[in-house]
Amino acid sequence: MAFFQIPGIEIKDVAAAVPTNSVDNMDLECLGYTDRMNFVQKIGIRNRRVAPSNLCASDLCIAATQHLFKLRGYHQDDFGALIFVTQTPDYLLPGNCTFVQNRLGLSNSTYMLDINQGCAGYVYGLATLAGVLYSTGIERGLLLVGDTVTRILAQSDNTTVPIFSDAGSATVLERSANGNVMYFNLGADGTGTNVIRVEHGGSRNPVDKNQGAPYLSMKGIDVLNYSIRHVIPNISQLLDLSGYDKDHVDYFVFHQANRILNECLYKKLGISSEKAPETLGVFGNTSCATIPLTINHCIGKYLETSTVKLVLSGFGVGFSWGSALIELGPVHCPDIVEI
Amino acid sequence: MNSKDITTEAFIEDFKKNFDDPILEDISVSTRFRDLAEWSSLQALVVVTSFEDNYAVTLSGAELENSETIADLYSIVISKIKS
Repeated sequence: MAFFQIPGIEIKDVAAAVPTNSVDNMDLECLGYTDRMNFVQKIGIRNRRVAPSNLCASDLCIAATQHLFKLRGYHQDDFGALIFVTQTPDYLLPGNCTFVQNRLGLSNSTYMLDINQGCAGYVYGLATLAGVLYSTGIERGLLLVGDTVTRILAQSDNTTVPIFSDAGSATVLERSANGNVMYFNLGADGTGTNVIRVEHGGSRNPVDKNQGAPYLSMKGIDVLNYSIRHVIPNISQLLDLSGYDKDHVDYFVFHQANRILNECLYKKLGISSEKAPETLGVFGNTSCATIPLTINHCIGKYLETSTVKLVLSGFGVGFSWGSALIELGPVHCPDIVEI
Repeated sequence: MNSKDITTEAFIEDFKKNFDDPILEDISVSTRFRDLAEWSSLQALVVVTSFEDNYAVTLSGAELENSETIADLYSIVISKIKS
């Protein structure tokens, strides 16, 4: 367990971008009609956003950031730190931060860090950037979290294709004398490295021309089991150690894995589904971007003028998980950009 | 939960509730669940989740993979409740 708290940092903006191309799971050719109906009803995913081959996670995150720059009047020099969380970077190296720094025109003295994290990535990124601002004195930082997972799916795999979707997000964090304490509880279990994996393309198993493009494989039942085993105690511990009860929490924003898994978590934690906003139906599972996308889409308008206590919970590849208890709002959540 | 509380009949009734297919009336302990028309990776997830909900038992992907019949699933569930 890594439970810790960071004071004096506020989230100011949560923006997101998705590809314009929307795919309806009822049109999927890799499933028969009845299976499609069952899938949509039980897994809860009807529409997914699929990026064309020339659109990367960095493009989506930059679009969300530029939208914020325009609406909020931010200038490149306003940001002293940049963190990019993705598992579908533009290149194996260098990391996405350098491309983003160049394209946004951020200062050469920007603190930059690329994080290879999946569905728990938003919470890991938030914890890391908040920690950087707190410890360095940098006033404002940009957290970019996004993936184009549809790019690494085997198109014949009916266990992954109907699930995954593409999105990017941009979250602005600032030091603030009035900033409340953010509580984090992060964890990982390396026995689960084979639960979700892209087997080829790294140094261990390079791609050769006979293997084709590397693709993601996922053991759905083991994802369910790891999630139940780790996420529930992780959130209970977060609440206990931060001194809050689940009734103090206005919303639980979970990673949008699938409806079966998410509803199982709600039930075991004793959370009503009204307190757990969902975007599975409209955006599917967008990997590390589900949490900011769900905040923006479901409660963004309310957050423009209100303050809420949120628990955020991400879990997946690794197997890794992380939760955060934060007070959020008023915060700017501009309309989701479509590119 | 006591494993004695779960008879094979009750287990089969619980198992059937995960399916929409009325043909499941004929299901028995010797039924090979993968032969069921409705069986799929999605249905496997539904069944494993129902074991969590009904019996607080976690069935791993490997355990499911190594099982053939309803009796195999029943044995795993009962042994996990006992332990």
